[in-house]
Parts: sequence; structure tokens; C-alpha cells
Amino acid sequence: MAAAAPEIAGSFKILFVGDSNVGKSSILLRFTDDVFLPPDETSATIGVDFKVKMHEVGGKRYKLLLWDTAGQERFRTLTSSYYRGVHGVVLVYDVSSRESFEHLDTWVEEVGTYCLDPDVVKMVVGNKIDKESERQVTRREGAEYARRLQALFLECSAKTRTGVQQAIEELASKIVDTPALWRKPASGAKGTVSIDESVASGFGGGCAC
Amino acid sequence: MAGRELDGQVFDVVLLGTGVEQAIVASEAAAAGRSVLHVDRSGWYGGGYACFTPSRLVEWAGGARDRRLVPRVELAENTAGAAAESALAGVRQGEREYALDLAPRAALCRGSLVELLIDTGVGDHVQFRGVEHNYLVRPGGPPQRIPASKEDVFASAALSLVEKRKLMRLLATVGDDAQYAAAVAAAGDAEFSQFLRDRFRLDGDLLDAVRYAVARVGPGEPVAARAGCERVRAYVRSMGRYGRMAYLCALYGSGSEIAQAFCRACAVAGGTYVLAADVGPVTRAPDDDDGSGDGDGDGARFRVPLAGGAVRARHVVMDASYAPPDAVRVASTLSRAICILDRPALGDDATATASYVAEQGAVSLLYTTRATMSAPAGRAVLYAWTPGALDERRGLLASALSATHGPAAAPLLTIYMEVNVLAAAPVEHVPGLHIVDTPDATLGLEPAVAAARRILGPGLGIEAYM
Repeated sequence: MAAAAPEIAGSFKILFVGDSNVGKSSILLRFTDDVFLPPDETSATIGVDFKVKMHEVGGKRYKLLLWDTAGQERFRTLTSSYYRGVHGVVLVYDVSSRESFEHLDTWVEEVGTYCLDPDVVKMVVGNKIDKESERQVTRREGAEYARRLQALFLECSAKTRTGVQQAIEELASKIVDTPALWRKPASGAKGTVSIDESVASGFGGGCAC
Repeated sequence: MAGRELDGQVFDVVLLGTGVEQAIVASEAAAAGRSVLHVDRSGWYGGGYACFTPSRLVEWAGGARDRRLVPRVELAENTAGAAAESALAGVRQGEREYALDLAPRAALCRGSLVELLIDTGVGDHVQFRGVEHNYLVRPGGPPQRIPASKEDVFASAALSLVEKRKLMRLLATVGDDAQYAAAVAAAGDAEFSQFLRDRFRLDGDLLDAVRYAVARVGPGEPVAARAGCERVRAYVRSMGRYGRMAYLCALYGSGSEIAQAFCRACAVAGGTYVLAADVGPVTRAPDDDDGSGDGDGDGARFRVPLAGGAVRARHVVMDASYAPPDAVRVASTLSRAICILDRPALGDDATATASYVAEQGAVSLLYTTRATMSAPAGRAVLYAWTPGALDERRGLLASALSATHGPAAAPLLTIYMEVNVLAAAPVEHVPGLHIVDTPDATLGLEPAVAAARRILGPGLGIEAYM
């Protein structure tokens, strides 16, 4: 008989925002599946709704639900439900694209519009540090931007693995350290009906009394 | 931005408007491997089912509102006589916690929308609350609760023993396949109300409760016994699936949340989304006069101008508000009211439907609170709607609202709207062009699923729906 899996201490919704082609899906897939898709195959990320990965912090198990934008960042058409109930936001830019860094402001604004909880943990991530020769945003600029946002900061490369694991781990640890964020009952959770196939005996279920 | 990037591309399906029907079509078409472009001229999702905070609603009424769809919006003074501006100030606190629906909706627990949400997995992304109570309201009130179970029927102090027996007989009949079939066969082509009177001896409140609050027959709507019985059966069968209630209401906005969930599923399956887009008018692709496919073999039948560029489409699905004036008719006109209450008159953590029945007509109502994350704690939103032009129906709506919320609560802000149900004009059918009616007076979302299925199967030829 298999040993019972250790109890899950918490479940965190983490999502990625940022311009198209900064590598949001690549970071997600590198972290969850340890794969990297070459640029011409990135359409293969179609079909990713969210990925689940178990993660340990301080001997306790946490469930990380990492949500992909599903391409809806391309024309800024993310649904408000994407942001709902979120615990951590990863704001991604491409260190070799000044434009993607400058656009972070509009993403921060959108996150502020939809994430009403002030405790939501933010992390600024500069991706593609493997393209060092094409770098347009210095590490210092990224760190300074994150500091002003009171966000965590890291640079990484989904292609070479550098920093990816560390980024998500830091974010998860910060969420764990902010119990006000995830210990409070999820909004509307009480009495909420989840649609599933469980079928209770119906009122009209054939009992002809 | 979108116009330049997408210019010249060919899609299997281009959808205009992000209402529930198109969202379902988009998600199912993308899941079936079709290339999908889904566009809305507004900067938000939901089309005629859109959901706003109070200030955004007022902004929409004065600005982006489609006058053909919603010809009139009026902000009523509150009971204290304050002007609209200060009434709006009264709901400014917790402004972002309101979710005001243009076309409030609910879903039957055992209805086609819930089944579709389960089958597609899209249901994982929508949260619901049960619509715990259903009321019959007479002029002057107070609302009378309609029994939500057999136990309720027995326990009810409002029902006489004879009434209880009549009601149980009706419930037993619709709950049993053989009895039900026999009853419906015996009904022939009788009218529903007459059938309820003759067969079950229902009258007075009991008849109105079954007719309006359970079967949700519209005022003046002719309904045959069979169709009426089907509605009662659908209601009764829905009870007990997720609790005692027959209906579920989505959190954060009843229709737009469901539309958004299907839109996200479409995007996950590769669909492209563009909002706030300058779109149309759609024309036949110039090199395809016969509709059978054009010279370059891409099969595009339509040209859809989009944000300075244009895309080409094999099928176009649009809600009627996107169609040119000569292709659209006003199928009916509704009057709607959205009323923000200073107190949660029917319960602080509750959701309810109600039917107001008076000599002047009948009104459908939906009551929502923080239970569905659509009002701040301590407040409530009461929706009322009925067929007819606003000038004729404003008084009826006002009576329905006040009889339902009673003297214990007062409106902080009431918004009246005249809404047209736009539908395709009976002109020559254009192959590949599918026009969806804009939201009507129904409460349930099941007709939206049926409309989407008609487009998916016979329209787009997607096998699951053939």
C-alpha cells in the first residue's frame, strides 16, 4: 500500500505577464517540465492553460499553479478572470528588448487594475540573459525598477536554465512568508458551487410519492 | 497594432462580439482545430452580456453604448430625491466590488450550459453560487418563497393542505417518466396555464408561481402545455444536483464571466483575440462570387476590415449588433432596471430569483449580493426586466422593485434601460454568415447554448454538433 502523500500546506496561483515573445511560456515550461522549445516551435505552447508543480518550502509541500497567458497578451486581451485569486505575478521582459522593459509599466497598471489584494507578490524577471551581446537593459536598471515596485527581481535564461528554478522558488517562498495573502479564505469560497459530474439524488429523481 | 499584424490573414472562423453564444462557438471551433479570430469593438468582453462597475456603467451609457441595441438609459433619482450625480456618490464606496450585468443570467443545474462546462472542462474556471431562493411577488409585497424541495412543500405554512396535495401531484408527475409522458400526451395542444388549471387544479398564487417563477413563462407569451411542462421538468430535475436550488449564478458577473471562460479556452486552443477593434463592415470576398471558394484556393468567402487592415474568413459569426442595418430587425424590446440597494433586503449572503405578477403585467427579477461577488457586503443589486418599451413599463418595473425589496431597504441608485433584441432580418441566407440574436428576456443560459450549437453543427460542420 502506497504511503499517503504528505498534506498540501497551500495552493498558489502564479501568473505570467509581459509582452509577446519575452519568454513567459518558456520560463513556465522550463520550470515545470525542464524543456525549452526552439523559437520556431513556440506555437507548440498552444494548449497550455496552466501547469501544476509541487514545491517544498521549509519541509512543507505547496501546490503551484502556473498560468500561461494563452497568447492573450499579444493584443492586451487577457480576461479579468485570469487575474482573479492570484497570489504571485511574474512580470517578464526580455533583456535584449528595451521596448519589452519599457512596456512593463502598462503591465503593472493592468495588474493593479485587476488584482485588488495589496499583498499579491510581484517579481520582475529579465529573461534571455543568454543573449548577453544583444543586451539592451542592464541588470541594474531591472533591479532598480523592481525596487520601486517593491517587487522581487531576478535575471534568467529559459534557454540555458540559468535562474529559472531560483526565480519561481523565491516567489513561492515570499508567498509562503505572506500568510495574509493565502490563509484568508478565498473570495466567495463559502458556499461556492464547483461544477462537476457529482450528481446527488435529484428532487425529481423518480421518487413518486 | 492588431490590424497591421493580422492584415491579409485567412481564418476559418472570424467572430464579431464576445457574447456567450460567440464565445462558445469560438472555443468549440478552436478545440476542433479551426483557426479562430475573435474580435470585439468594445475594450471588454461580454457584448450584450457585459458587466460593469457603477461608474463604468454610467460612462458606457453616455459613451460607447450601441444606441441601436440600447436606445435609452436613464439614471433615476433615489428615494431621498438626490440627483443622479450624488446617487452615484452613494455607491462610490466599494465601487470596484460591484458587478452590474447588462443582461443578468443564471444556469439550470442540470441544463445544457452546465453539461457543456463539464464536458469541455471550462467549468473549472467559473465559480458559481446557487440561486437559493425563488419568490413570487404580488403588488405591495412581501415576496413569498416558493418551496425548494418536497420537504419545503410539506413544511410550508403558506400553503393549505389542499394546495400541498396539488403541488405534490404536479411534482410527482413531472418527476416520473411514465406519468409525465401520459400527462403530456393527454394535454394535446392545450395552452399551458389552462392545462395546469384543468389537470392539477392550480389557481391563484399556485398557478402564477408555477407559470411565472418555475416555468418562467413571459407575460403574454403563448406556451403550449408540452413546452410549459418541459420547463417545469427542467427546473424540478435541476433541484438536488448541487443543492436544493434549480439555478446557479456565476460569480463576478453572470454572463460575461461565462463568456470570458470560453474565450480563454479558445485562446488556449490557439484562438486570437482582439478587443477595442475598429471592425467591419463585412463584405463578400471579391474573388468569390459563387460562395464555393475563390481562385487562390483558400476558401475565404468574406473580407473583414479590421483596425486599418483586413482579414479574410471562411465563416463569419456575429451578433446582430455588428450586422448592417438592412440585415437586422428589432425582434422585441425590453425594459430593464438595475437597482443598487442600501441594505441586503433578501439576505446578506444570498442570491434569489423573483417573479412579480400584477394586473399590469409580469416582471422577472434577480437579486444578487456579495454571495456572487457582485456587491460589497451590506449592499445588494436587484435586477428587473419585462417586455415592452420603457415609457410603458417604467412604472411596472418600479412597482416590482419596491414590492420585492420592501420597506426595509432603499435604492441608492436605479438605472433604467430600454434594450432591443436584435435579430437577423429575413433576407436571403448568405452561406458562411451566421448572425446571433442579442440577449433577450430569458433568465437561463440554455437558449444561448442551443444557438451556439446550431452554428457549430449545421453552420460550421463541426461533427460533435451535427
